[in-house]
Amino acid sequence: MKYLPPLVEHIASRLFNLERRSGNDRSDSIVLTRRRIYILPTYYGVLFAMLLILLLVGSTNYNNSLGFILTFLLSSIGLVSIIHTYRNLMQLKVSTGKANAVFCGAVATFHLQLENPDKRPRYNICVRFKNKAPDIININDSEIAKIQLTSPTTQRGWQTMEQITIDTVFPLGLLRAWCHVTLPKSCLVYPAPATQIDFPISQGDGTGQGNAHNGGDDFIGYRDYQPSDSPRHVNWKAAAHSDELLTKRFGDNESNDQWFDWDSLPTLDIEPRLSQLCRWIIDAEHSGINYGLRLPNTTIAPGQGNDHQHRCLELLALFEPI
Amino acid sequence: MKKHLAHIVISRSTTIWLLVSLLLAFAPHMLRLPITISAICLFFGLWRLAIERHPSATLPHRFIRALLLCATLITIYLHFGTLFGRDAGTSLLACMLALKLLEMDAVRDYVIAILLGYFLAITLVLYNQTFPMAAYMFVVAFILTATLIDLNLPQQNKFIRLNLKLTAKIFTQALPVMLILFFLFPRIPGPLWSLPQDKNSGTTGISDEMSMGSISNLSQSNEIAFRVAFEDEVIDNDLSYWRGPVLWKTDGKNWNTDKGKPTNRNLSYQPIGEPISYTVTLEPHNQKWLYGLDLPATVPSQAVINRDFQLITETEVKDLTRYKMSSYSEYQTGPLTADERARALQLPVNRNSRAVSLGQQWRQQLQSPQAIVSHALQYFNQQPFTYTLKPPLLGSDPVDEFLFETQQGFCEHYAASFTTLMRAAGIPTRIITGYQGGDFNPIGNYLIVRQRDAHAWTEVWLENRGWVRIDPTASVAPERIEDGAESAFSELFDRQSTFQFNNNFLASHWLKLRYGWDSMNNSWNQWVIGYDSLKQSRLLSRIGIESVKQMAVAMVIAIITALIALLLFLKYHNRQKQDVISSAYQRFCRKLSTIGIQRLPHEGPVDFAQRIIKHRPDLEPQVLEINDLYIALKYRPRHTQQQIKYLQQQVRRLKL
Repeated sequence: MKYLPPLVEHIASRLFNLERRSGNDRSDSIVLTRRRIYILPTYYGVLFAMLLILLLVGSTNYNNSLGFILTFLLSSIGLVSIIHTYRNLMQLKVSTGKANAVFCGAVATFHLQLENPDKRPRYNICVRFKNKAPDIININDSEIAKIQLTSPTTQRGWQTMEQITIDTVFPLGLLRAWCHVTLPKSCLVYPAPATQIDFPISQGDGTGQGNAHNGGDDFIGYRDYQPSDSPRHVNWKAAAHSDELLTKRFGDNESNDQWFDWDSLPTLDIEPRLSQLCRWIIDAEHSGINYGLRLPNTTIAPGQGNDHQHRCLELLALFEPI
Repeated sequence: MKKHLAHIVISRSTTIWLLVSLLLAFAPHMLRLPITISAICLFFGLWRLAIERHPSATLPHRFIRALLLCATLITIYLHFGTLFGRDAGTSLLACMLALKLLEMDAVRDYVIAILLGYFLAITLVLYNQTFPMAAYMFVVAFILTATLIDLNLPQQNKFIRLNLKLTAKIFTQALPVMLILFFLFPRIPGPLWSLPQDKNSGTTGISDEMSMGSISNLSQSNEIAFRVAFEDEVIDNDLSYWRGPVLWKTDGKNWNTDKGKPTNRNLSYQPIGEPISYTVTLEPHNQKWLYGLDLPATVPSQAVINRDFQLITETEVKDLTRYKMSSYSEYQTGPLTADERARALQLPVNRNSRAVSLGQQWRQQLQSPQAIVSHALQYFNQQPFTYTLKPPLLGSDPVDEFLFETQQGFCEHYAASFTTLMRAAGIPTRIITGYQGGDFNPIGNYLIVRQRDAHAWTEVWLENRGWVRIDPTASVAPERIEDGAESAFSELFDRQSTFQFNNNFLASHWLKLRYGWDSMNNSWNQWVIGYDSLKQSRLLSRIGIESVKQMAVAMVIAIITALIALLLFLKYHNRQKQDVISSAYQRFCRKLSTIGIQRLPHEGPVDFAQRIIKHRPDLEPQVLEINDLYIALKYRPRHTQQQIKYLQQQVRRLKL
C-alpha cells in the first residue's frame, strides 16, 4: 500500500484490517494517534450515501447542473466530516489513575483521565468497556476530563482492566471513529466475605488465650455490644451519636491477639475457606481487635489498621494453593 | 451500528432547527404547488410545532397517522392524476416529509427527515436553475446541515452561534472538494431513461402558429430568449433578424408552418459578402428549433436546416443550449418550385374579401411586383396606421377589420395583412417569425434578445432576386426596427421599470447594474448550468485529460490532495494557536534532546532542569534561568509580552 497517500493508506488499512487491531502499551497512558483510530460510516452514513446516489441519478436524468452542485456539496461535506470526526479523537491522551481494591462480587472502579492537548474542544466522546453503556464526555480545550468505568468482579485476584473503546460520531453522525485502548491497569479483588460466623477459638502461638478475654487494664479498643457486657464498659458518649452500642475492651495487647488460621477450617474448600478468613478479618478490623493471619506458607503477625487489613486481604486475594 | 447514537438526547432546539430548515426548503414550492398541498404541509408542520410547545402533548396515534397518509395520497392523486413525475413527485415528497414530522420521535426519524429535506432542496432546482436559486439552495443545505450538527451537539453546548460557526467551517472546507467533483466527476449525458413528461413543460417564446395578437402577448415579457456573442463586431440593429418558424398556410385567421418538409444540411442559396460568426446561448423553450441570424450559413451539430432556412432540432430544446453559427446578411436564393409557388399564394376562400380585392386592384393598376410591394409599403406608411402593443381584438375577418377599421396593430398584424395583400396581387409571400434586435450588454460584450423582441416579418419572392425580406412594420414604426422594441414602446417600458431612464447619474448606474447582473447570469449559464458532459470533455481535453478513466483518476487524486491539505492545514493552524510559552519550552526540550537529554513524560520542569545540570553542569545558569522563567510564565496569571519574548530569546540563545 506504499504508493497511496497516508490518509488513504490509513483508511484502507483500517478497512481491510491490515494492522493489529489494538495497541498494547506498557505505559500508563496512551495518545490516540493516527495508527490507532479506525473510521467507518455509521448506519446513517450508509443512508446518506444512498441519498447521494439517488441525487446523482436524478441530476443526471434531468441534466440539472444545480442538482449536481448540491449532490457534490453534500458529498464533500461527507468527505470533510471524515476529517472532523477523526480529529475529534486524534491526539487525545488517555491515562489511568488509581483503582481501589474491591471484594469479589462488587464492581471494580477504574479511574480514567482523558486529556485534550489542543486548543479546540472535543464533543460527544463515548468511553466504554466493550459492550457496556458508554460514558459521554466533552473536553474543553486544553482540559482533562475524569471518568470512572466499572466492571463487575467474579474472581479474586488481580482483575486487569478490560479493553476500553473510545469512539465518536461527532459532528454529523454519519461516520464513527473509534479506537481500542488496553492499559496495563489492574484492580485487586479480595475474596467475597462469607456470611458471618463467630470467630474461631484462637489457636494462639503458645500463650493460649481464649477468645477475646477482656482482662487487664489497658484500653485496647471497641467491639460491638453484647448483652453480657458490663454497662460500665459501654461507650455511652458514642452511643449518643449513633444507634450502635460499643463496648470498651481492656486487656493486654499480646494476650488478646486473635489468630485466623487456614488450618482451623479443615472442612471447607479453598474458596469458602478464604471467604471465611476474609469475613473474620473484616469483622476483627471493625471490632478493633488485634489479629494475625496464618496461611499454609505465609504468616502475618497480628496488627490493626487499614494497611494491615489490606495486607491480609491481599494475601487472601492472591492466595494460590500449593 | 444504530446503538452508537442511542445516547443522543433530542432537544427541542433540534426540532425547531428542523422545522425552520424544512420550511425554507418548502417555501418556493408553495408558489407552484396546488394550494391544498401547501396547506396540508403547513398544517402538519404547525401541528408538530404545537406538540413541541406543549410538553404534555403527544404525537398522534399510529391509526390517525395512517388515515392522514391515505387522505394525503388521495389528495395528490386527485390533483395530478399520478403520484410520479416532477410536480406530483415533489408534492408527494413534501407531504411525506410533513407527515414524518408527526411521527418524529427517535434519532433515526430526525436523520431521515433531514435526509429527505436535502432531497426536497434538490427538487427546488428542477424548476429554477438561476443564480439566486442556487444561493437559496445553499442556504437550505446549510441550515439542514446545521440541524444535523445540532442533533449531535451535546445538550449543554447547543448554542446557535457555535453551531453556525461549525457548519460554516465544514461548508468552507467542503467547497474546494465540491468544485473538484463538479469539474472532474465524469458526467454521463442524461437522461438515463425517458424523461418525465413535465420537465420544462411550458413552452415560451415564438410558436409555430401565429394569429393576430399572439406575438404582442410576448412583447410584454422581459424574459430572455437567447444571448449572442459575436466574434467580431455586433451586427446593426436593422439587420438583426433572428429567424424562427416560417409560416405559409393560412385560414384567414391563423398562420401555420408546413410540417414534414424535406430537410437537409446543405445551403441552397448564393451567399454574398462575408459571413458573420457568433455563438448563441438559447434558453430552453421546449420547441424543436434553434434561432439563427438571417440567413444561417452553418448548421450546428444538433440541428438540420430545412428549405425555409429554419434550423430544426430532433427533440425539443429542454436545456440551455449553446451553439456556434455563422450567417450571411446578403444572399440570393434560387428559383421557386411549382409547389412552393402554390403554397406561397394560398389564400382561403371568402375570407378578408376586401383586402383580397384591394390586392387584386393593385395588380391591375401596377406593372411590376416591385412596384406593388413599394405601393403596399407606402400604403401602410401613409394611411393612419399605428403601432401598438395593445391592439384591439379582431373578429372572423381580421385582416379586413385591421386594414379598414381599427388600423392599430402589432408586427403580426402588419405581416399578416401585407402577406394577404401580396398573395392577392399574385406575389409569392410568406411570414417569418422570430426575434428582431436585442440589447447590447457592454459589460459582457454580448447581445441579449428578450421575448419582447419577438417579431414577425415577411419575405416576397421576386424574379431574379429570390426571397427578399420585407418588413412592413418598418414602414409604420421605423424606430422599432432601428432602435428595438424598447424605444418603440418607451412610454410602456418606463412604467414597467426597466431601462429607459432619463440621462441622469442614477439611471446610468442602474443600467450598469442591470447589465452587470445579466452578464453574471450569462457567465453562470455558460459555466455552471451549461457545464455538461460535452463541455466537460472539451474543457478537460485541453489539460490533457482525454478519457473517463483519466477523469476519475484525476478526480480521486485531486480530492485526496485536497483532504490531506486540509488535514495539514488544521494541524498547523492548531499548533499555531497553541501557547507560545509552551512552544518556547518545547523548543528548549527539543534542543536538549539533540545532546541526548530527553525529557521523560512524567518529569516536571524542575526535575528535568536538575537532571540537565547533573549531566551538563556548565549549562546551569542558562538552564535555571529558562526554567524559572518558564515556571513563572506558565503558572502565574500575570505576565507581559516582553517576558515571553525574553523566554523565547533565551531558548534561542542557548548554546549546547
